[in-house]
Amino acid sequence: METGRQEMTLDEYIDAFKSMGKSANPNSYKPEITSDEYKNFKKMPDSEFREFINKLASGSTQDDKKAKDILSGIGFYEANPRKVERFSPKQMDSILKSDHPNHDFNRQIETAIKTGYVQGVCECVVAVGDDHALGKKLLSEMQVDKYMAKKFANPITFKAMEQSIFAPQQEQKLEQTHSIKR
Amino acid sequence: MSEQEEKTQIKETFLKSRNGAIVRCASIMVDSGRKDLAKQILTTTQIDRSRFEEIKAQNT
Repeated sequence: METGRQEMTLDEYIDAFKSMGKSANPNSYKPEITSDEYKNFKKMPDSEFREFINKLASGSTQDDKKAKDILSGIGFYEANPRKVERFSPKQMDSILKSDHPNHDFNRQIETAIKTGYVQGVCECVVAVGDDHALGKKLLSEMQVDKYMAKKFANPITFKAMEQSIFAPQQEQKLEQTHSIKR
Repeated sequence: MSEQEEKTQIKETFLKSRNGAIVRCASIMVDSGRKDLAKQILTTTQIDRSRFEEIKAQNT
């Protein structure tokens, strides 16, 4: 189906990404990178960002995948399906590897590592219970945020977190009520 | 590798990663002077003391 989107070169897209601080098409933006990575890319100077992507895309298979994840994270492929042809043969190879069964298995292993890690951390946060300060310390030190918890943790574990550490602060509600009364 | 072997490997990878994260979290609690919470974490997540030491040794 024709979306009517205007295609861009990688450079134009990154310019748009950098200037807007998000995908050129905010409505379809679905980040596949962590929020920390996203923040870092936002802060990076344009030249450094391009160099980073190019370096990743011309490196090892694993690095190619990382570059793809980043580009996918910022919505590049989605917005520019045909511009993938502009990539180098090596980059194209890495894209075509997506259809290879081994690649699929490797992806599953990577997902299992990430899912296991986030699940483990989230179970610990739930186990810590009402001590939210320590729960937040765990999340911070283990570099897991709400977005990752929602994406990777077991729904039951995440629900328990939503009712405890991610629950809206009662104090904030009270404060808001007081300020409205004033 | 058969499909069954792949499934087993994925499951083992998941558990290894989960257990590693739990042991790290428990260690953070110990370092924060909260051995009680470290114990609570290990009990809740069903990792006994010997398993804890084993995983910790693997990760260091």
